[in-house]
Amino acid sequence: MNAEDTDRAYLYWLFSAPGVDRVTAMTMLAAYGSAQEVCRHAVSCLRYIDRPKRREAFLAYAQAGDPTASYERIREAGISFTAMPLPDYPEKLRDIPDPPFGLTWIGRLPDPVQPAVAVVGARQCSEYGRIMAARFGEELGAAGIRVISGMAVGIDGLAQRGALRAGGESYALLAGGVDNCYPAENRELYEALKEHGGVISESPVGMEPLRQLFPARNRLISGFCDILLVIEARKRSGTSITVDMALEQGRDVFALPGRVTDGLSEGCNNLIRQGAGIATCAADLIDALRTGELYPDRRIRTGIHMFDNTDGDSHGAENTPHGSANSRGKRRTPPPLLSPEEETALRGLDLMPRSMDEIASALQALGTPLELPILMESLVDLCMKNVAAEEAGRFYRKGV
Amino acid sequence: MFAAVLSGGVRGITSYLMQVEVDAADGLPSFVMVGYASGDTREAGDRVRVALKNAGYHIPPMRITVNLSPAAIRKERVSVDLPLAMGLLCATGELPEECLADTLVFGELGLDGEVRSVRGTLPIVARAAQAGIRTCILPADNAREGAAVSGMKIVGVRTLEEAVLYLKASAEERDGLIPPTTVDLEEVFAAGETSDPADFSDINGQETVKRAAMIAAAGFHHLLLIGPPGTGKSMIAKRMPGILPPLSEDESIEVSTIYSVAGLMGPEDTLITRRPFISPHHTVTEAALTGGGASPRPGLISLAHRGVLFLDELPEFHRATLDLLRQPMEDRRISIARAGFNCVYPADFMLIAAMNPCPCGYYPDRNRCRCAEHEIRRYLGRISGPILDRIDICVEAPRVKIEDLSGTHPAGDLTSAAIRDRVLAARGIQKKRFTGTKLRFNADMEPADIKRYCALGDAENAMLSGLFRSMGLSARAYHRILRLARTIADLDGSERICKKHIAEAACYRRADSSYWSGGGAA
Repeated sequence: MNAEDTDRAYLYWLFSAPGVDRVTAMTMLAAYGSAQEVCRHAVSCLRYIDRPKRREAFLAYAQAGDPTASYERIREAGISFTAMPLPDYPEKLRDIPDPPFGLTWIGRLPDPVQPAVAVVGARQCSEYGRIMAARFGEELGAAGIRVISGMAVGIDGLAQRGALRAGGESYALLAGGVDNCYPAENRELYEALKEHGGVISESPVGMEPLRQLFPARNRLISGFCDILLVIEARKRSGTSITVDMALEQGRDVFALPGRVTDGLSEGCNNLIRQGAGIATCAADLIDALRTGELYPDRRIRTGIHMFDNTDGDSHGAENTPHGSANSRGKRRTPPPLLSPEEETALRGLDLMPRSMDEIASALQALGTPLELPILMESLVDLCMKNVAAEEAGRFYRKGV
Repeated sequence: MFAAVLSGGVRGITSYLMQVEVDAADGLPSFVMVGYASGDTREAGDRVRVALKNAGYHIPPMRITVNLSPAAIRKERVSVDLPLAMGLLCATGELPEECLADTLVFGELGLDGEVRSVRGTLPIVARAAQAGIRTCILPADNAREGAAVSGMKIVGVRTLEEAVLYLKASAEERDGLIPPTTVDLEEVFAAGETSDPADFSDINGQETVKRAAMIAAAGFHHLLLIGPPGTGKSMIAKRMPGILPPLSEDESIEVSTIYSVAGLMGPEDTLITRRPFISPHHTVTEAALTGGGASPRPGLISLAHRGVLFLDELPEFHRATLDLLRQPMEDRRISIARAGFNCVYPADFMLIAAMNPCPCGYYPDRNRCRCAEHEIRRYLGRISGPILDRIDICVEAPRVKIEDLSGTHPAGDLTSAAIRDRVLAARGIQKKRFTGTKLRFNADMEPADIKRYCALGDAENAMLSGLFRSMGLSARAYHRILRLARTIADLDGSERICKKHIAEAACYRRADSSYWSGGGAA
């Protein structure tokens, strides 16, 4: 083990030590010069720890076994580590209030030069939120913008999946240890992120994803990004913590507008009222990233297919046979031919899922009623043509 | 002297005839009852002696032996009071010996000599009629029920005295004393038809559910209604019997037999002519649902035979209780085996289940529903897959809008009678199709039958395979859709299953992908 590795290993020892937070660790380092020295003088370091319980825990930790062994173990497991004193500690995080003392990750850390957008929102989101999260994820990913999020069910995971689908990179900030895939249902996303991005955490390896860790985790989501995009959020939610953190850290906040009657858009509409940027498509964010001019080396892919809110179908470049990065994951199919009944039925659909009866009465109100069996047939056809979709016995129009 | 009286009892759903034999001999006065009688049956001896005394008949102190034959059958919960009293009177010479020849007697006695009703009248009388018995003396309260059996002279008696007077009278005088009870079955059935006040036209809106109900009735498919609280799920279920075809005479006798055995026939009841509607609360115990107990009794699923079993709040039922429905739903009967007995009750019911889409009831309206996906999954997971597999139709009952309730909606005028006509037409087609097979309804079709009766054209096959790809259907869903498409085509009067029938059937499928495995990604 060379000197740098040893230093890192001891820093990891200090990082995983119980009862030692960032301030304590930095004080100890200032007093003794290096983590190795801190380890050697663990007993005298006890005076920097304020509570007796924590002192006991720290002492027991310091006296147990080889201090560098746990670092070797995580290296073998493919987990990387950095800490504030090290040069590879992300610069972006040094500027935020209360930066983490250390970070562990699998995969990579986001390239500090390249633009990053955090996409966050409710776990229990609506169909509108689902569609938009996936779409923003895809568009940002295709534009080469890193998508940062928390890998939660709902908006977070959908946006990250979208970015990966479009061939982009995405990074997840976890509340527990990086070896702990939470939530378990996002296992396949977790594995994909390790390949095409990274999973990052400020908790020691092996830590359970405890409830109280999540609010602190949110400051890292905003810390790693240039722009925070809120897809769907209720008035009071975990997302609002992330927004507060982002504002404190000087990040731009964008929100996806929604209908005023939707509880899930209340948070977003509120943000817009308070001056957040309005995100109608990824281009809105990209413009903001360009005007930043902070990083002249930034590369944002242009000429990519962007969603056009006025017209569902696209007339962009055709897929190249080998599929370049910016067209990967994009479907370029001509709009399907619809029968007159299907056209009518489609008018009764909305982005929000509607039940059969609601669709029937919507058509009635439009003056173009359809008989139930015919309506059902048309809806099934629309689903098969991928123009509409069905969930839990309700139908909705597909926006993508 | 020796006397024998013909009586009968029920065991499970089947009835048997027995001889109540009485011997009065000289010797030390005693009363012995033999013939595999349970404790409650033996009590008859004490009751009869007091009842006879109070009715003014004198039993001399003799050595009295009573035998219930055949001794191989356990007599449990059987009233042998009236036949025992008649036998005693014969054996002691109070009644002429031959007056009880070829006469079935049953009934319970009060201590004052009153004759009280018993359960199981219909099956006992029917069994006796089969055996060639032509006269039956029974409690007056059971007379109308017994009269449903043709070819039997039904004599309903109110007191012990009446019975004795009747038996003492000569054959010509008898009808003058107590006129035999007769009922006009046609009238009974006609009365059953018109007695239902609940009609489908009471329900405003819910067009999808109404149509699903009609399809369910036409093919006897089980039905699952999913919707938030207060959307009329139970209203619809309650109206189901009204759109099912009326009970045929055979069916009516089957159902009445069960009710008779369960002791649920009142003095005014002849036959059950309306399809039963049974709606147990979700705290129902296993034995109450399936039947059984220390002495066998039909359970609720048997009381729902040929009718509707409505399970509201399906996920609230204990999983073990629901799983008991698997065998009856498959075999259309339930066999109950206990240490002391073995019996089979018919249980051919249409299951209508209702449930909320999630614990709070508002999913997938995410503006109101805040249930986490794992909560929803756990809620739905309480219903076992095998039960869901047997439910062909799954339909959502959406929230009712105010214009629907205020009755301005034009489509709220489809009456139960109109729906029933269409159901009957579809049933007619099925009857013709399945002549000579053991199948009765489309819902009975197994995969092999589906292959035979649900042949598809090329366009339809293409559509079905398209559905498979786009909706991610399972092989089970495939058969469900075809069974249902057959019924929808029958309702349409179409010999061929067309694309629209398949599409509609697909709309009623259980949403395997989203509902029962958590919402997929957009």
